[in-house]
Amino acid sequence: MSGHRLAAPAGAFIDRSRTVEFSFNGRPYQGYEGDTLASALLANGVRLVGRSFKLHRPRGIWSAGAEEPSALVDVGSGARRTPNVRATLLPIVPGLSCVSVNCWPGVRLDLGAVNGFFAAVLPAGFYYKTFKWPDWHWYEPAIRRMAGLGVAPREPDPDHYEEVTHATDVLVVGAGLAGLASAVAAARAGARVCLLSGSAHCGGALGWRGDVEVAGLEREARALGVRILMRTVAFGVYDHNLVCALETVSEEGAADLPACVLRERLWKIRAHSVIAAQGAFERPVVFPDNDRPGVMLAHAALKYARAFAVAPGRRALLLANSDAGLALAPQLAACGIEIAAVADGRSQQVEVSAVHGARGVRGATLRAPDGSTERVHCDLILSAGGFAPAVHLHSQAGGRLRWIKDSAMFVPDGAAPGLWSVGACAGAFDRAQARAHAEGTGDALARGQPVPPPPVSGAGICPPARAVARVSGKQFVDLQNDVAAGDIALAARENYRSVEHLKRYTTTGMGTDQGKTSNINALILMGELTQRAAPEVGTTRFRPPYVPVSVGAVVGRRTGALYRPLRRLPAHEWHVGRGALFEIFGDWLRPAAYPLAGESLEAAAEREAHAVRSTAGILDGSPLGKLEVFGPDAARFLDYMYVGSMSSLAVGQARYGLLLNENGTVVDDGIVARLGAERFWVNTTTAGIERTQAAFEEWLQCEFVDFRVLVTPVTSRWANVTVAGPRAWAWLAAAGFDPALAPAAMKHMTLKDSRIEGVPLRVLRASFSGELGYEINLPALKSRWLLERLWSKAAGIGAVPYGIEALQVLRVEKGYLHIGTDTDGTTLPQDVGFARGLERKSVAFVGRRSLTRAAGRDPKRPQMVGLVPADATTVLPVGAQIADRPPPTLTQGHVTSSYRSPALGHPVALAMLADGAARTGDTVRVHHLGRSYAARVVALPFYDPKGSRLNG
Amino acid sequence: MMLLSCPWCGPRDENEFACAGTTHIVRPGPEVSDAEWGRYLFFRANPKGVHRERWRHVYGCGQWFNVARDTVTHQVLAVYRMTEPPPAVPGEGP
Amino acid sequence: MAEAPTLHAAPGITATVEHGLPVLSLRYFDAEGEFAAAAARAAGVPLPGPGHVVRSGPFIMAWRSPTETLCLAAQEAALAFIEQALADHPGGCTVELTGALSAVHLEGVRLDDVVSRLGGLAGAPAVGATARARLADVPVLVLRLETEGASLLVERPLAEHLEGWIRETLLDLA
Repeated sequence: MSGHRLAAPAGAFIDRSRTVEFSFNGRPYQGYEGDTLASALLANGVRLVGRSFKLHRPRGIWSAGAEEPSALVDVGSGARRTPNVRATLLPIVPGLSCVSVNCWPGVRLDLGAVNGFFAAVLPAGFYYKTFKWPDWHWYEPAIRRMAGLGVAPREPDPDHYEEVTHATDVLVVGAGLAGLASAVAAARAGARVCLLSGSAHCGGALGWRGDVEVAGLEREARALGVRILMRTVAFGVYDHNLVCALETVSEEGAADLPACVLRERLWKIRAHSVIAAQGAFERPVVFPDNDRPGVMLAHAALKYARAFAVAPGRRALLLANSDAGLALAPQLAACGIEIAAVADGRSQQVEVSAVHGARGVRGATLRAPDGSTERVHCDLILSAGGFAPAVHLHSQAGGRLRWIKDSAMFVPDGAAPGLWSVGACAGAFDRAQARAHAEGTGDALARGQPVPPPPVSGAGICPPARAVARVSGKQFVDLQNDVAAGDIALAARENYRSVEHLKRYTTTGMGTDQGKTSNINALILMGELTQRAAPEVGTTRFRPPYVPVSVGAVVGRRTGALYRPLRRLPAHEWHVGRGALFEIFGDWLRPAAYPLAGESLEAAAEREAHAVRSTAGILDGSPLGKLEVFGPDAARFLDYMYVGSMSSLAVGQARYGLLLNENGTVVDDGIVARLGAERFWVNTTTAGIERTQAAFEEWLQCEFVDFRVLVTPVTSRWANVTVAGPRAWAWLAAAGFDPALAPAAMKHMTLKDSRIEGVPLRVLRASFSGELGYEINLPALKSRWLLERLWSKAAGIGAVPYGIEALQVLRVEKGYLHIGTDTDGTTLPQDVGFARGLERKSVAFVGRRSLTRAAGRDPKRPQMVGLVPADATTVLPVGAQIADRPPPTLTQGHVTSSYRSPALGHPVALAMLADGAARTGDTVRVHHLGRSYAARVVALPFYDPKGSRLNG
Repeated sequence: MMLLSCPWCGPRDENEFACAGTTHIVRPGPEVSDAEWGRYLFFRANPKGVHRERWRHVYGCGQWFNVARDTVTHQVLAVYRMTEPPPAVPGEGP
Repeated sequence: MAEAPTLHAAPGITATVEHGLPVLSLRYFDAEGEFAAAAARAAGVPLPGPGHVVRSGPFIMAWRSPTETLCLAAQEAALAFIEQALADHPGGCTVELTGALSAVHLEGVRLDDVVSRLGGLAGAPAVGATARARLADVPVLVLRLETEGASLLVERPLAEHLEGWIRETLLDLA
């Protein structure tokens, strides 16, 4: 038993009057409120907490913070299981239950440890060289199972996450001495200040030392109205000073949580100025077996002693490669940790040549330059290899770095755009100087004045890291990914010398700790191997997130029903009452069909389509795009937008038109009707309304700036009730519609204003089904009223509701194209039967120039044709390719739409076929997933070629 | 996510806008060759530095406006309405 | 007519959803021109400038774009008055939009807290101001006429999504 609890007054963070019961790997333990899992386990003498990623080496608790590479645990179970939580940050709560990761059956006896025997064939990049013959797929399942650490839950996350947008003048990241000082100064100068503290305590590295200065600063900050967010970690700086931070709201792993809690809060903060005050990490010393449980960062041991009243061991070997490290010895001794020996490594004369004890340190051997060795009896090896300022946010914001040779560290080289660094993360380790500079920075930013440069000093002497020569045993650089000095040497030998290659080839710095305690050592070692100084090797690009961020926090509220903004029909409930089967079409929830009991979707669609052709049907067309276009230049403008002349429309007359983009591609279609001398009604497709409206506005605002045209979207204002079929008018008449709308009085493709019971209507006689059709536009709020009124007369007519699937069957029978289904990014109007429309039109229109290119005039272009399967039974698969022989071969076209036709009694399909217009009557072969079908090319439409059914 | 200043609505997050690429492009007349027309449609300069582009405030006022933006740093150097003459900005190439 | 409003509440805030608002869109080529002046006479107040909203008698006039002002009223009949006053005026047109927009009315001291949890804005606009922004991933026009209240106007098909997001936000509001 090495770790143990220390007596009061140690323990700034814990409350000894409140004990907390928790379990780890199935065993019960006790700790105090305020303990982290790491401190509580250490207090209970637990040292072995995990197994390393690749080699399954026994691992213990290495640090006391976010930089922890080894002590990862899975917390909780079921839907609330959270994998890979750092034990060093996890507060213990009653009922907390955690398990080690990456070990089976357990951390003490782990079968994965067998990997250790194969370490020699598992160096960095082994998977580029091994496990390939005869086929790497043989090994893939096993390797995939071994990769990864914790276990993710399979159930949906029951908890909530929210996103908060915040704007402030000065955002300070880090609540240590420098952060608090700059926040106070900025607030005193009148700025709105927001301060983020990643932990539940202010004060940073001084807070748990009981420092009165930081305690006073914290009080003052609150009194000045500084908004302080606790447990909120800034994980990224994005464009234009957007800082994203993750706040932990509810306790991880608490046993008695309600069914759903607010778990995390994502802060999106736009600050005029950002002050980074995140402190510095400690760098470890590199020596053989420097990953054994009991090897730890030196300042972490002090933190456990002072903040949590936990001594991680009884006798410590202090490896001090820095001035700051040496200064720790008396502080540790004062906490009750016996210092067995101090190895002053500043001149790199004394090195550790061996560590004894695989599951926990029992001792170490020190070696002097003359080769003599000394065995030290200890259970704790504390590594103080210098500092690494936390320059992540500075670098993400685009700031540069410079190398301080004496202290072997990178510091910010000037400010980043919009972001200034203070305190240890700026390289300012001298307390008084750092505080003064932080205050000056906060004050200057609040007043909009120049910010003084930071005083880089106080870190002391520290030589760059170096691997120990002439020893056996792995000398780890990145503990989490099991990357050792030998792997870095391998990368250098194989010419992966650039720092970005070094990272990816060895995977150093790619674990959940993102190399916080390993990246600098790795690049220093690579530099030594390749005769480059550290700044020549450089750092890899710093990218967010700085700490692991749950997907839930990024997703926020966008789950379940709120996954995407889904539009509903104004009379949604009426369709529910009719037994609608809803599906998502574009952004809308719409009835695909109204199946009777036991009816499949396909059967329902065919029944409905048949009914529309025999009696009548009703379809809710409310999502159809609608625009009102007004102005003295409206007619001229629409002529330019459409293929098809719109200016020649008389009042009340309607015309179908195609919309092209400048490349000549068909992008939308719709009906335009004239409402008045300077007013038009424009229908677009449901899916195309946004882009068509955007295109109209771009032309009007950016190109035709002198046109007097106003485009107003009215899709939501009008509902659309479409009635179609030979008995459509009989039905409408029975429901009380004005006889002025009868087919005899109202021609096809005309629009009339009307009323029924005082409700205004805008009625368009148009048809996508090929039958007599009425599109009745009415105020959206009256949609349900009209549907019920019509439905009350439906039985007498034999009418049915019909959905999108039936509509598709009907329109395919008539050969009507559907934008995006039968057309794609290459379709020109002449490909879909609009060649004559182009010739007739005399004025310019969007895309016209592109149609006359050589490719546009090629007669062999794919053209829309009808196909009927030779066996009169097979529904040709959509996407099936048309070619003389089976693939691989050049394709002549493909099937775009395909349905069984109730009107004709056999399947029909639309296809794009090269030179299709000239191939009517030909038999072609249609290929799909290894099968081939014969089909006959026929002219369109399949049904009612003369269009006589349009008049009922 | 950039912060763009709509000339009418003020500063807003980038996800309220849609970008339509390079602005100030003069459309050639229909008499040009296919090659010239193709260049107009598809060829764009890809400057490392100042780029003039047009954005629309889709989730806001629906207006189009021009932006001069540095493609390396994302710094916005100028925002001006469609009908305003383009202001000069420092560091712009020929 | 309009459906009964639904209500959600949390300490310091209530949210009421209203459909079928009587709305008239005033469209014009020139915000300083004759049409705008005629509209101002009919409404009894100059049309608000960019980002502003004013109340005048039965009308709430809200700026929506350089060529559009929304005119809201409690009754459709009041809008008919403006519609008739501007009929056949060459400088612009009116477009009836009753039923196109729904509103979520937020009232309470925690107004800014709720608005800042919808995505695009850090808080509600100032009193007398409007903001047209992306809230709950949909386009919303926020009208702030009172100190402790704001109305979020959204296209009716998207109202359920906005309401759902606000309802969940209120449930979590601590």
